[in-house]
Amino acid sequence: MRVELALFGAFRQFDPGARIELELVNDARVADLRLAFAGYAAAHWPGFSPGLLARSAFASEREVLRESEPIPADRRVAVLPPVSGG
Amino acid sequence: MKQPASQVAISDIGRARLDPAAAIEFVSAPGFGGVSVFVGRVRDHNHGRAVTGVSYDLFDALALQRFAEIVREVEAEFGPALRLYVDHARGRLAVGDLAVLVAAGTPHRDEAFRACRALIEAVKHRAPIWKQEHYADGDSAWSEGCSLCHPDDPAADVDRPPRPAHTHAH
Repeated sequence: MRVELALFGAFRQFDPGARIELELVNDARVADLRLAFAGYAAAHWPGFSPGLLARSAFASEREVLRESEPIPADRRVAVLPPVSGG
Repeated sequence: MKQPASQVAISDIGRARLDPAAAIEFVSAPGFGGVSVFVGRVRDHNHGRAVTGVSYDLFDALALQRFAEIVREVEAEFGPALRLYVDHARGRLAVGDLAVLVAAGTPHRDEAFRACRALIEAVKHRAPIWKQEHYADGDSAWSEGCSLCHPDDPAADVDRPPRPAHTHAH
């Protein structure tokens, strides 16, 4: 299945559209998405720091997802680097 | 009809400014003798560097969800005699611009102070908001922040301190 991944914060600098698509197996979980995203970033983004991804969470529009959770039914996920509001 | 006891919002800085007077009005009530307001503004320096502005990026849908969750938690701790207000800016702000505005109205000052403090701390640490600082030398950098990973989630193999501890400066 194709998953649409929205990029926020420091990830925005790597893609002008702030959005990428990744191909995952049909029963993929968030942990699979993390692995696929790490591979994509390493292959496409010079200067990408794996440490940033290690501290980043994945979320739907309603909640931060656990690694063991399945990909949401609408296949839309966001990757959230550490937050710094206020 | 009964008015809602809380209001949460995101303000696109290109269209609207954060309005402390509106926050005070919203959290006010005839039985409330205490109103506490926190206003976060863009400062002109950080870590020894001259700052000319800040850009805020938000995941709107989840941020509004998080604001509502935080409000419910603060209501559970300090309510029910309580009114709360949260508004965060999005977009590029100049030095002195208002970045975040929270307010709490209660019958007495102690709960107002504590509820307001609880609100702003939770918004800063748990809402999906990111700050990019712009410096006088033309450089820009995204600020260090708090990880939103579930603390008991094994996936992120990072040396992450347990909540609520964190080491970065605000």
